[in-house]
Parts: sequence; structure tokens; C-alpha cells
Amino acid sequence: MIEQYTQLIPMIYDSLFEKSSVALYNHEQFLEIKNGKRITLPFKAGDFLWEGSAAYDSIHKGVMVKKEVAEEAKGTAYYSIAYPIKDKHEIIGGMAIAVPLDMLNADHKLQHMSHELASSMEQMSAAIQNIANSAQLLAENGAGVAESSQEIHNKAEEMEEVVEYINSVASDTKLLGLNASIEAARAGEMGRGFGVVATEIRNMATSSLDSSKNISKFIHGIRQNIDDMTDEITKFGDNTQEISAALQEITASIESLTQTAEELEVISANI
Amino acid sequence: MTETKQYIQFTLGQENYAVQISSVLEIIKPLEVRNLIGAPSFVLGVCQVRDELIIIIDLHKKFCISTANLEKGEPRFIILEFESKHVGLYVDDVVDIIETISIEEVPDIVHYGTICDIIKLEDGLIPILDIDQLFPNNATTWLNSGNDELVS
Repeated sequence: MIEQYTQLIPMIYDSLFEKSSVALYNHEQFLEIKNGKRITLPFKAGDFLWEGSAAYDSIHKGVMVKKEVAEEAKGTAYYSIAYPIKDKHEIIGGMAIAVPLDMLNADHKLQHMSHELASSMEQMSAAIQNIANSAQLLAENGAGVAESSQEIHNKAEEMEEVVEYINSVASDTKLLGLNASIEAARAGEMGRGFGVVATEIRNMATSSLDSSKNISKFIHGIRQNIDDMTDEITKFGDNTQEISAALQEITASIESLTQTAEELEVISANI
Repeated sequence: MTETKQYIQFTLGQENYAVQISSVLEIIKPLEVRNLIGAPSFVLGVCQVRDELIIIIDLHKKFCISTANLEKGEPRFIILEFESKHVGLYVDDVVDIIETISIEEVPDIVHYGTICDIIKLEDGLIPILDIDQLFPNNATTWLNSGNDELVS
């Protein structure tokens, strides 16, 4: 009687994409076994059912039995499903299929991985956003520094005006001293004392002129430095702009990758 | 022992010159100069100093002295007393007053009358302009001629 079910084996076998094994058994032993490409069962036709196996349980309990068989026990880890076959309420045998566990897990794994991918992409996107914000901040700070340096430049210009004024006073004082000396010389012996004072005035004026010229030189140097600094800051700003642009491109790429990952997740969930 | 004398040291172009302080009336900042038609080219023009008209002489023109590449000095008019007349000398800078006894006459062989003596300083020689000889002939003739006589 049960032997008639043999003809079902190829059909079931094909419907499982030839990957799983199919077994037919009666009360005591396996009658026929067709091993799948992905799993070879550790028993053969003629072997007796053993207590604890899905086939044995299906016969004795009279219901469908599912069992996971660990890798350690029989070589390949598999999941077996055994159905009892009844003829007029009497159990005459059963049929079982064995599916490799990794095949069962594959879709689950795929879903897990695509989920991981999507969340990694999100994290990356957030990190890039942070960098972009920092670059923006950097550009703003650079603009602030440029403004400050312009202010210093203006202050130096004002300082130059002050020094220019000191310079002109010293120059006038020198002229005054020269004319005082001329007057003293014309007064002859009587002007000798006055001449000494005039000489002192001239000397003071000359040293003031020297000092103000030095200050002028320093201020000029400072302004030169500030101009150089402003140039550097401008370059720095340009570089920051380039970084920002590059980050935007990366963000766009990541967005499309994230979308792909999300689609992958949806597809894997529906397998 | 020779008496210490005072000189006003000034520059014309890159060179230093001096005049005796006794022939100097005063030193002023350059004023606006009115050009005079018919005057010799070295006469810069005339300007007004405290109600007095003073002729300003430009020795650059007279002696072909270049003012190119001059470091920024302070141009001045040195007002000289010359034959009881006042004449202004346009100079590129008044450097200082020199007090010295180290003076020598110019060797005769190059004596043209414009330079009377030379001051010997540690860092160089400074020719002293002879005011009396500086404006001979044409300038004085022109200055003293009160007519329209043209001078080349």
C-alpha cells in the first residue's frame, strides 16, 4: 500500500528545487530515500526508524512532526518535517523531507544583513552631516578672522596717520631749532647760550624723527603681515568650500546607497 | 687756533653741500612759487615771505642735478642774504648744522668760484657754496636789471 506513494517522491523532490532530501517509510524502516543536492541524509533505504526521529514520532503520534537535527548529531544540520500517511484512519507509513538549516536561515540572514547595511548607511550619513556642519562652522570662523584682520589693518592705518602727525611735528620742531640756531649765530657772542638751547631742540627733533620713522616701518611691516594673513585666510575659505562641495557629493552617493539598502531590506523581508 | 665755524648742511640730489650760517637768514617750508616769464631756467620763480618778495633759485637746473631715486627728504627754501638782497635756495633736504674747524680751500686747479672751501668730516667731504660767486653775471644782471632785457 505505502509503496504506491513512491511515485510522489520525484514530484515533491522537484518542488523543493532538488535541494532537499525526501524519504518514504513504513512502520519500521525507510523504504526509499532521495537525497537532495544540498543534503545527504545519514541513513539509507532499509535502515530502521529510530526512536526520537521525526519519522518515528510521526508514526507513533499520528501527527505531523517537525524536528531540528543538529550538525553534531548526523553530519549536516537539517530541519526535518515528517507527515504520517493514513489509509482509512490507519497509519500505514509516512513521508519526510529534510531541508538544510542554512537554506532555511538564508532569507533570515539576508534580511538581517540588509537591515545592518541600511542602519550603517544611516550612521555614515549622520557622520558626514556632522563633518559638513563642522566645515560650515570652519568657513564661518574663517570669515570672522578675515573680518578681524581687516579691522587690524584699518587700525594700523589709523596708527600710521598718528605717526605721520608726530613726524610732521618733529619736522616742524627741527625747522624751528635750525632757525633758532641761525638767529643765535647772527646774534654772535650774545646768542651763544640761546644757541646751545637751539642745538638741544634740534637734537630732540632729530631723534623724534628717527623714532617716528622706525614706528612707521614697524607699522608697515605689520600691515604687510596682515595682508599675507588675509590672503591665507581667503585660501583657507576656498579649501573649506571645496570640502563642503565634496561632502555634498558624498552625501548624495550615500543617499542613493541607503535607498538601495532599504529596497534590499524590503525585498529580503518578502522572500 | 682757528675759530669754530657753523654751516648749514643740505642736499641737492644725492650730494651734500653746505653754506655759511652767517649768510643764511632763515629756513622755511616751500611756499607756492609764481613762475616768472623771461627769467633764466634756474630761477624757479618768486614767492612772498612775510610781505617780502623773494626770488627762488633752483640749483638742480643750473648744475643738472637729478632728483630721481631720492629718499624721501623734506624740501626747504634756504633764504640767503646776498648783497643785502634776499634770495631763496631750493634744496631737497636740510640735514643739520655743522660746527667744525676742519676746513680746507679747494685746490686751484678745479676752482670755478662756485665752491669756496671744503669741510672734511669723518664720513665724507662737504663742499661749501660761495654765495657771492653763486649768482654771478646773468642772474645778478637779471635780478638787478629792472627792465625787460632777456638773458640767455
